[in-house]
Amino acid sequence: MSAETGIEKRFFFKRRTWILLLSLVLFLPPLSLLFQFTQDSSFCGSWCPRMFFVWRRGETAGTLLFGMARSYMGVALVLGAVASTFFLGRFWCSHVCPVGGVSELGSWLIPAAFKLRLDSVPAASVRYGYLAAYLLLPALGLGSLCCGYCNFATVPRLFGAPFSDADMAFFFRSAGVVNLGLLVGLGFLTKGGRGYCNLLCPVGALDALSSCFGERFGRRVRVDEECCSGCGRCRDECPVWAIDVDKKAGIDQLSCIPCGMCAKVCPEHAIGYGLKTKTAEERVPAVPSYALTGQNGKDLAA
Amino acid sequence: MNGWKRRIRAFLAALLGALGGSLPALGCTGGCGSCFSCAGMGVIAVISAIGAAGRRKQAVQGGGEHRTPQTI
Repeated sequence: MSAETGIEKRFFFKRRTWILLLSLVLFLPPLSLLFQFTQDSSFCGSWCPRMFFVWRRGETAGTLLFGMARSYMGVALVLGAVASTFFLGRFWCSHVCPVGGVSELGSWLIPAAFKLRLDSVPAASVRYGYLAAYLLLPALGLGSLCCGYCNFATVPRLFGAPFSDADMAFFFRSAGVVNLGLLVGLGFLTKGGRGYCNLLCPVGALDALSSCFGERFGRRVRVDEECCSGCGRCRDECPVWAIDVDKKAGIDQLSCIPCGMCAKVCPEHAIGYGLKTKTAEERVPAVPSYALTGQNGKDLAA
Repeated sequence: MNGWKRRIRAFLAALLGALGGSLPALGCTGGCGSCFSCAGMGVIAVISAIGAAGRRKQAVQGGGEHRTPQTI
């Protein structure tokens, strides 16, 4: 059996494949089941999840609110994602987002020898540096990254191109070519397929903040330090390079999406999804310093 | 400490790379989605950040920022 045949078999027998395919059915052409409720055909329009939280120079509170009202489903989607992430972790990114799903599915079909490893890049730093520029540019009147560089516009058009001339035309414009190149370069050709999501997605950046702030209160992928042997298999498997192993594995909640890849490969079953409980040190109450003293304060042990 | 330096370098490189890449787009009204200058900013940001961060030679000491090694 060739290696390629093996990849195909695993692809269709993975439960995660079917979860991601379901997200494609909900959001991407030709079905786009959720968009049909609002008579939309893509994320552009009332489902736009990126434009409403950007303030442009000269914009009044009224026009900002009007923009939010215009993309009301996008507002609901982002608020829902951020709120659910606070309690449950980044399920939007790992299980529902069709853009990330397409990147991840595409990367599984590419042989490992052709894939780029981005795990030397501190993802959170790049993500928030880019998000800062994303927010600053329109505020300074220098233009906008909303539509000129949008993963939510590119992926649905990729699926819609066979059915729509307008979608096909997007890929003959310079922005379409560059965006497609980024999707391939930072998506399909990266290990895990989440380079695009992990470095540049503004929605993912907001979601990650919620994941970090809610880490104490909500369910997250966590490592049982007592069981972890520090073998590093989880780090190698993580699609968003959120795991660092220094004697024991540690998970960066700013980057972690609860895809469960790490838990599957852990030989010690040290990784699980759940609420935060006390560490072994915290479970043992602080022991007061022992001293045997007499009534006059004299140390009787001496 | 080295981990923090890398993170700060990467953050500044991504921020300044994207801002610097936008200079050719001065005067752009935004939203047209057909300009290489704008669309290329992501590439500039990522490449400059990767370059600025450099290659990690070992695991970040202490597990890095926001690590959660607590038990479940």
